[in-house]
Amino acid sequence: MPGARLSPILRGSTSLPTFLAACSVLAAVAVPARAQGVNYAELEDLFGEPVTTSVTGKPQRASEAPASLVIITREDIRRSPAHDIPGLVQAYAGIDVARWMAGQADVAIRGGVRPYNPSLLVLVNGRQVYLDHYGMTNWAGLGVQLEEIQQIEVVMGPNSALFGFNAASGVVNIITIDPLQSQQVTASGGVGTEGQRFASGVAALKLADRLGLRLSGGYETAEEFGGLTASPAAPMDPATVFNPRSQEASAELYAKLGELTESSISLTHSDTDQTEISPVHITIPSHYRFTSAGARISHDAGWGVLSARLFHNWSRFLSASDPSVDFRNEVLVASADALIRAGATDTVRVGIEYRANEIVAEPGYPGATRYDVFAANAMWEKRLGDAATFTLAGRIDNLQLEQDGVVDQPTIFTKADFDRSITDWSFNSALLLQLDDNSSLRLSASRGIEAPSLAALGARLDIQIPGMPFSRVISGNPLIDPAKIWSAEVGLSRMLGESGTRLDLAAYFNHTTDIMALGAPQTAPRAAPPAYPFILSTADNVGSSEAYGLEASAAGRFGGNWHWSLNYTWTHSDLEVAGNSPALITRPLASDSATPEHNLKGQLTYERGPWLATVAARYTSPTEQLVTAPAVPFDVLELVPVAESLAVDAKLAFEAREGVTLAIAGENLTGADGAYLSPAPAERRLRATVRVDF
Amino acid sequence: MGVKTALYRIACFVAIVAAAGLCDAARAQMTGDTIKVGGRAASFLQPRLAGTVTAAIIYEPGNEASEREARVIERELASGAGADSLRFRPRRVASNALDELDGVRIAFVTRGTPYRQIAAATAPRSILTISSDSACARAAYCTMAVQSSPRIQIVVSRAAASAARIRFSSSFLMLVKEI
Repeated sequence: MPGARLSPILRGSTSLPTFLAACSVLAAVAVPARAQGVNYAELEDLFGEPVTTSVTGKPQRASEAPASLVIITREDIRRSPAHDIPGLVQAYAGIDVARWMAGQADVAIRGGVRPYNPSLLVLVNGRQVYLDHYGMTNWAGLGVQLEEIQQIEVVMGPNSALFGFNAASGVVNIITIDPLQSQQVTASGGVGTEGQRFASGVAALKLADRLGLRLSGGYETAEEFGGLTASPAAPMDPATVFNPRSQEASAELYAKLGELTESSISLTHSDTDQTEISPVHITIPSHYRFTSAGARISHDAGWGVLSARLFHNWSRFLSASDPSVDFRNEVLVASADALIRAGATDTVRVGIEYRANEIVAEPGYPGATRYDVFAANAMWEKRLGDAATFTLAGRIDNLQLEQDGVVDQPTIFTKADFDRSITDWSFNSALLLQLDDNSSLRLSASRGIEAPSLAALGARLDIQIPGMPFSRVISGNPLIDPAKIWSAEVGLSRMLGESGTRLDLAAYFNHTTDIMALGAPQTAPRAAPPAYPFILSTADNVGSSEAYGLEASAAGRFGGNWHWSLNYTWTHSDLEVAGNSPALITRPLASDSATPEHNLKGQLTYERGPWLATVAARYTSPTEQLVTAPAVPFDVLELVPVAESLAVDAKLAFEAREGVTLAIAGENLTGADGAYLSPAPAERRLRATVRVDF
Repeated sequence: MGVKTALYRIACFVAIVAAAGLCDAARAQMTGDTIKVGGRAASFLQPRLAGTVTAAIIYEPGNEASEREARVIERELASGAGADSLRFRPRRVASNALDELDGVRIAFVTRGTPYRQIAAATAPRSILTISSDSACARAAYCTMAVQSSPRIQIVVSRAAASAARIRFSSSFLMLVKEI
């Protein structure tokens, strides 16, 4: 019986209290001896640069990581005019941020701009906040406030050897402050143009010598883009435009169980409403509910670090205009790692992971589409003298799929099609050459895996066509294969002069096969009358792509009061999709034309006494974005131009008294229509904020 | 743009990258100094050091350079070098009076001192010895050698640490160079 192999937790549809009890058990059975996690703040103080574990699983200085890496520190966040995480990361080379709507953003790394980007894995303290139902990230509902972030780590390029499926184009790992190391109580709030209202609070408290608590919450709302309804991205029914609103709450309890054992239990909930562009490029009103509970523990064994993690996410996607749409997704992940110092020059990591994932979709098949993933991974790092370090990491994932309900009509698939196993592998390798005390050259190659989303495997939408004796069916495809991304890269990092100026250069080549695309109303049918009493289109592997790019970044400071950064990105994508041509687009994919070829970004900050002023500018070359245009009998997909743009953001902050900071900030002050890559014109928005640190 | 053109561009870029890497431009001077780095590194000992601890500064009497270095270290320690949770109470100890190391947890070893004799005195007392001279760590006389310029580098001698029964957190050891 295939279902017997599935997680009993998911099969019983675990309640949150039950799962929290399980997390407590995990923490309680911890080895009562010695362990220590990574103290990011102290290590950054020690080495004068941030430290990450997001590249290989081993703690590494940013300058020694074997991958292109951006680490956004607390100081970077304080200086930035951005008000959210997509706004923070968009300042860096190789990263495109599309704000399709006022509440919907997508982050793309090294190409691949599209709504519901499935290729970027997003984590909070290593816990997945990426949503598996459609394979996407709802950036408005991560459950993290900017004030509680220790650093944001962005790994460019595939990193599936560490993180598995979906770390295909990169990883964003958001690290929050540890209340055992840094304590703070902060409240902030403000108002702005276009109905912006927002408030947040963070408390990081050391309750006892070995017990800490981090609490946070936030609320934000604004008006939808004013130009949406007159733009090519307008929804079919203007009454379905909803203003974005998000509310989030998060708590994490940290406990040191002995001198060298650390553990934590976390709980996050978010609730967001937004108008958004769906992956088939139809503008819809969406409602997300996301709850995540997790536990983690690490133990310093002297010869290395043992760690284990357990988390369970419940996410729900509902239509704000159609009560019949209800996607419920649960994912349970349990993993364990051993990071071993094998002598003075070698480090080895071995790990195992189990993942149970399911979706119950309405409309869709009765019952749940589920899969289990069993994975094993390993990493070996070898220091070759003082001048070189070699890293090799690999992972194998085995996915076992099942549909536990009835595979009823209309469909061309059978229940047996769902009873399927997928095994795939990934690797990351790099050679880091230390050219001198200030320069390093990095050569790397990798293979990443992007798993089909649960919707791509098992969702189904049955659309009745008025006046026609048959329906139009858009469905997932249980026979679809994962996409594979091969990547090669060369990069140089160099410190220049005595000013602390850092220069980073990178060139990469990505080749992706078995690209997946959902079926759309325009997609050529796989079944049609008279053989079938319906027209059916499915998700499929539709082609391949290649992307090349260059990234150059420099950042530093001068005069004691000035900080600056400047970067340029050139991205070129070639996308070959069966069924798509310049004259006819049948698959909702156009990441080649949707990704800007040129990006030039700069930021300048001046600080003096209680004053801080920052100006950030971004030039983005023109793109073309997909939209759905009304037509008979079916709507059509078409590309619309989005103009090149020069967007300027700015912030002026003043610390009126100790712990009280007043700030005014503006986004897109130049009012450039194309600043957000959206078919809906971007707006100029201003806001005023008060922040109090107690 | 064709594939050949793109590959040509990348090849040109790689050439520029390589040339930039080989050129000997002005070198950076990292912020922070050796004493602060050593003081912060001491907070990664296991069991973790916290509060105010006595730090010896071992110098060679009559050696002007050693005495000058000792004065600099003493001034820095007194002014608060260390991690947030760790402060030092400096105590100058002459290399010919190593019996005065009792009660000391950390010792900064100045250049020009007899490293071998110092190791013989500090190891039985489980004292973390920190020097700016990497030769001291390479010879397994000092537990740790630190460098702050042009970039922060920390070298830990496994043999010296083992002899002194000193342990660091694994995360810390993965970020330094062990010899």
